[in-house]
Amino acid sequence: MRWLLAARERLLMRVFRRREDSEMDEELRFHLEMETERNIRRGLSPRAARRQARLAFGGVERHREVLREGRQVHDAVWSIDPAIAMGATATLEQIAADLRWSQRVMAVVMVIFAAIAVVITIISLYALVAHAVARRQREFGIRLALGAGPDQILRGAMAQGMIWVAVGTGLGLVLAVGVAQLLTRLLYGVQPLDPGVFALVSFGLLGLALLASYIPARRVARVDPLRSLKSE
Amino acid sequence: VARGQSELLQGTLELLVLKTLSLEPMHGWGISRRIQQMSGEVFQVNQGSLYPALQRMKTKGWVRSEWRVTDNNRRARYYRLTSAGERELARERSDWEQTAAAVNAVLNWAGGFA
Repeated sequence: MRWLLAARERLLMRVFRRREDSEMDEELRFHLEMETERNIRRGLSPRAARRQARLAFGGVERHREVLREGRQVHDAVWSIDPAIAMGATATLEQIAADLRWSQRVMAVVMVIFAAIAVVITIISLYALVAHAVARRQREFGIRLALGAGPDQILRGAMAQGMIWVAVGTGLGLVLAVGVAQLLTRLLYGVQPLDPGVFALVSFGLLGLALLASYIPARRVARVDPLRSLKSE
Repeated sequence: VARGQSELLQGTLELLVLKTLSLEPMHGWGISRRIQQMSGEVFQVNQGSLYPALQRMKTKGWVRSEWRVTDNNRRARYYRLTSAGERELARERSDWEQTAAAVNAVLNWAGGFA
């Protein structure tokens, strides 16, 4: 019997709160509409009038939250002692959202930094391979003249760059595993050592590096051997 | 806040709301408009403080609220002053007058000290 009473109590409370909420909604909406109409009477277009009313109001949802949370907490405290002074109240959810906000911003900043790092790396690699290939142009010319195919030249020109990239990727993987351990505390719902992510990132970077060294290497492989020989 | 307009002084909002409601029952928007008009468009009532203030005053028993239909056939929540609210108005009013008189006395001081 007791649980039945408790269930009834809870149901009533829920219905009552629903009603309070919808009444609050209606009250705030009424305010917005009246303000909008006043703005229209003052000569604003309906759209501008609505916007201004909303701006003056400062976010209906926020006021609703403040009203609702404040009412519950204040009612509860004042039912015990009406003399207690109460400051602003917030739910744990709001506080948690505020805390998470800084982490979300940090995450976005980190992603931007990482993207910049990748772009700089790819550009540098491109420049490095282009430079190395240009310095070895004469050698490539000799090889071509001695009968090496363009494919062999291409592979030879790219090999150097790709060795650096492979070493770098290896070092990066080792570092990433180490740093991921430190990050564990900050991660929520994400595996620190997700093999899929590690593989995807490594192969993605390798692919980009291949492309960055392929373009200058292809250029040298295509050049006429005579021009290469005379180039210095 | 534009020049010539000003936020309400801390603690005076409830007093002004009580005064407004002592004239006639009003809805929230009407209260904010009234205060703005009566103050010669000087005071801007911030809705973010008005509705929580009304809620507070309701909890303290100074006002009661009821749903009514406005002149142009809209449902709105009207607030009405209770007798406890009238007493509170008288009390806050004399507090305010005392404070204002004291501040003016200091500002207008022209004499010396013996």
